Amino acid sequence: MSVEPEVPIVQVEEVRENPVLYKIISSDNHVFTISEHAVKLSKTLWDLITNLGLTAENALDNPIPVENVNGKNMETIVQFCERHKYDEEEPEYTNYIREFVLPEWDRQLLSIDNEELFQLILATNYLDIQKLMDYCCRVIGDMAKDKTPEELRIIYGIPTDAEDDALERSASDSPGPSG
Amino acid sequence: MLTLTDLPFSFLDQLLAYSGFREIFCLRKVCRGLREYIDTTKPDLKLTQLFITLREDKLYLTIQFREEQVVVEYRNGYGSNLFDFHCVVSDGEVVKTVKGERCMDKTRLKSLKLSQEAKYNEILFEEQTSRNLFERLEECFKARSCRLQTTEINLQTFSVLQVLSILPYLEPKNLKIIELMLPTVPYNKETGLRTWRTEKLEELEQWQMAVSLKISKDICIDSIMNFLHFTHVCVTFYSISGRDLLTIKNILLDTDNVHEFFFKYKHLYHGEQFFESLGRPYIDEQRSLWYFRFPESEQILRVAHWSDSAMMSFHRKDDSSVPGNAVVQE
Repeated sequence: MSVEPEVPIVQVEEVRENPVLYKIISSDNHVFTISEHAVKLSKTLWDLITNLGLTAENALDNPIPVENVNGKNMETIVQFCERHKYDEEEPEYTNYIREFVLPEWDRQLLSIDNEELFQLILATNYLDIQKLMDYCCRVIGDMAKDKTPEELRIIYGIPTDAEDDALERSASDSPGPSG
Repeated sequence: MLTLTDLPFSFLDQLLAYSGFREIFCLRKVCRGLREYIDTTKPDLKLTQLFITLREDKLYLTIQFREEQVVVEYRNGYGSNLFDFHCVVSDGEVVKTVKGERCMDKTRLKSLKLSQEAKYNEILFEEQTSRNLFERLEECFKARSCRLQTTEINLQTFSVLQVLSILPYLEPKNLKIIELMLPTVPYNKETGLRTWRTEKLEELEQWQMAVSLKISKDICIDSIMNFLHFTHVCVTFYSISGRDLLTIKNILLDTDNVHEFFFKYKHLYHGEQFFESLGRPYIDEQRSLWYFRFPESEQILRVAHWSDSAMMSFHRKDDSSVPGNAVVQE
């Protein structure tokens, strides 16, 4: 009976994984760790890391505060970036090509209510993550298929012009700080 | 509560770029803010083809988008001017719906807007009864701040003047294919001159920069030289001379651009001298064929003459297409 030589089992993921990790603190003080490849998907964060001169040695000791993004959105964003960190560079965004099917994993991740999705888009915009913006755009855009303007108004939470006018009127009628 | 209109403009731009024209229409009707935004930014509606057909008392406007086609029927004498849509085309808006019209998709098209940067792949104007259409189109083309971008123009008209009222307003950098056809209705006294003089067309930048030319009317030309930059030509010359044929042959052998130059002719003057200069032909069915090798190339220029049907072609081909017992002149 032959004996298999003992070799350490190394997961492919570990081999590819860059050991450098960064710490991010959300606006509500949740702490997240994110790998270097993943954080590079956010232009804002990567610029910050570069400007702060964070390195493999000091990264974890210097958490990066992100005032504009709460923990819930940051969690989604970190998951997304980790998932897509090894994606190949996509050709220039051809946004009207409908043949592109959003991967099931991402569709699940973005299956949240619209208010949350809009919050996530604001956070994504702030952190400048183009790929996540593209995916959110597809989710929002697909909602408009075969809908009437009235249905869209409800889906996107937009007040009617009359409601909008009423809101504006009440805002201008309310007494100001001095009134 | 956060709504779509609270999102950054960059996201809205991206959303509009992703959306088809129906969704853009629909979004435009959702609220004042979106309407103003769409009207100001004029997102690309992915319009690929405009097809205008004028019949007795109706005008059909077929608008081909990347994903679907919309046909609007305008009927004369209903509510408003048949030509209303023209001014609309001129400043970007494609269709204004007119009350009382039968319109296949009235609601959605009521205020369709076009980006002036939209690149149309083809515009086909098929004129069947009225000359007025072209005058109106010329007016609106003139009013545009930039020339219409299209890679292909297909005009069905009885008059070369009408071609001249459209062609100069197309962006020459984009225009590749010019097709000028006669309408498919029977000839009558309205059908115009027997031949078209193309000299004014030949002067146009659009003509000089296009690569493919097809004209179904007999043409009287200014100079054969003005046809030799096209890679594909299919025309009927009212008259052509042996000297012209020699020019075609010599220029084509000297340049790389022409792929096929085909023409019919009504009158050929001094053709014998030209054909004698080509040497003995290879006879194949009803054609006389001559083969000339391009300098330092594996390709040949095949000159074909159908004397019975008054047709000729100069065709670039691989030398493998030459019959075994035919001679290739070096």
